[in-house]
Amino acid sequence: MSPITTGIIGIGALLFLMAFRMPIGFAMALVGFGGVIYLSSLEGAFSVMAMEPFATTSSYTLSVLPLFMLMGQFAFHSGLSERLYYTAYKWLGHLPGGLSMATIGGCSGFAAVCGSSLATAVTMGSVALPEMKRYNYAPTLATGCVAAGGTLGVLIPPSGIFIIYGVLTEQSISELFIAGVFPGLLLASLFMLTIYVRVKLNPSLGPPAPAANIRERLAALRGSIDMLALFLLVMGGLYGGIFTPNEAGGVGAAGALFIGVVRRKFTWRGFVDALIETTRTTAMVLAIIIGAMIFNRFLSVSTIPFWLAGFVSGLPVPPLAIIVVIFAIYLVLGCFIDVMAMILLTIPIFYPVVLALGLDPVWFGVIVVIVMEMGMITPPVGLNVYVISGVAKDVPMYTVFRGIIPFLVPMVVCAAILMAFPQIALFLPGTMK
Amino acid sequence: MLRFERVLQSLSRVLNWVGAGVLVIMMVLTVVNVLVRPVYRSILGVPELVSYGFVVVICFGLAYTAIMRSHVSVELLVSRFPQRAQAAIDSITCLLSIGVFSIIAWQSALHGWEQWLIGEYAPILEFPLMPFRFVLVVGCAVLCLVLLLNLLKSLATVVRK
Repeated sequence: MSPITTGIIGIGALLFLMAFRMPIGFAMALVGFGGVIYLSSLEGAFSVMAMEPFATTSSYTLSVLPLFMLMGQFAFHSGLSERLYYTAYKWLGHLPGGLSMATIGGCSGFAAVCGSSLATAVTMGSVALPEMKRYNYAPTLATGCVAAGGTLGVLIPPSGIFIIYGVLTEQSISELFIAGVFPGLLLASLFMLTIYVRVKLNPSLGPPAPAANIRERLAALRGSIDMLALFLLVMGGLYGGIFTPNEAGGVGAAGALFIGVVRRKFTWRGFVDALIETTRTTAMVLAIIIGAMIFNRFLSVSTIPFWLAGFVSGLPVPPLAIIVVIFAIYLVLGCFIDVMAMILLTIPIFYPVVLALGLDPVWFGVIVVIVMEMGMITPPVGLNVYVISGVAKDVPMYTVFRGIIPFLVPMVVCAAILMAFPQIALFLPGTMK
Repeated sequence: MLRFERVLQSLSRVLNWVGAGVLVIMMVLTVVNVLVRPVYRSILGVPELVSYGFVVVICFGLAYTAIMRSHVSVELLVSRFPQRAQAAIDSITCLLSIGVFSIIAWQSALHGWEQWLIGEYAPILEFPLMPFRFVLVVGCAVLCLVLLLNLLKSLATVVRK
């Protein structure tokens, strides 16, 4: 059996184990181990098992992950989500569909301190959904905008997916973060536009709330200004090359804790919960990464990535067509697999193709995140949708899925705009030192 | 069995606590380094300390995460099966997972021992890495015990009349 055939069988076996509810990281480690035994030797496989887990868990680059997670947790436990929503509410609430637009605004704000799409959706959902219910917003619009807004969590820096993408492709995490800023703002505006147009067409979807006067608006701004300052400090430090990503994460976490303490929002309980939640999520993600690193050793011995890159770049079709095919694969996979697992599984296979086509890795990373996030909100496995129907217990999951469909349009449009104008993502990191 | 479960639960919780404490230290070290740098100079070896602290955060969290059943898996197919079929499938995947992590624990222990004999030290601060390799081994071993507990529970569901 040729290495490539073995590799394909290995990928099949992995998908099979995953379908049968084996934890994804464990399944990757198992198949990777078996594959290396077959293609190289038992000793070789043993040495992979001895080296790879320690190398991964002691990676300085990856250690940025829990620090940014901690920042998001501290921000959450200091009541940031309420204050952000309140601010956006005072500024946008009187517009048609204004509360939904405020939700998108709040999500963008929370995304600026949090790197996870699930956490953003849950956090803003628990604040915004009761408000939208109070003003008789249609449940489809209310839940849909929260699920969609959550996806901003990974596009607007910090972003857990960018960190992992950066580690896998050896791209600068700072550059990836900075590249996400404008596409994130673009997507947020497109979401708001979608809401505006929909409510204009059907005003009963989202009746306007009473308008706030300018004094109330300025007062509301004060609630969010400190977190905005923290975001500018952290990202500005990254942009200016003053901080390494780890330092940015550490400063962000300490800053969010500091703000919470000064605002007297922080309880001992909140501090403890934030820590426990962070360590639990870190172990969860790292279990997948350890598995993926073992599996990748097998993949590279199988030579599949090199073969695929050679094969695809030899095809007589324009690179854009290949990128579209890759995105189609992501959309389908995204319906079944968690984004984190998907990126760990596919980037080692597709990345050599992207390089062979001469595409910009940072640009590709940004678009991949948008495409994968569509998977987070499409059935049957739209994780954002699950957690939102957990928050909005009176809304059936079917309604949430129906509510999300109109929000797929701005996501596709955003990805298309970025493909046509890569500069939107790339000009800011291009000016970095 | 109940006692086994209770002991494992407390053990995983304590380990996770240690990890959480180390995470706080990592944060503080990083921030102090950033604050001190402009007025004095970088503290020696902070990246190194953070890297090896990370080992503790992850490895001591693995078992707790398994106790909370929050390791990521695909529910789509199996959750539609009858209860007993689910338990049977879970027993098999659990057994496979135990296999994987005991190999990781065993091989890491062997390798760690060899490195200790050679005299492996952190490049800058020159502390021995053996304790951190040991943390990985312990983390994986406790994870195996938790998986064993889950296996026993699934098996109990399978054989129940």
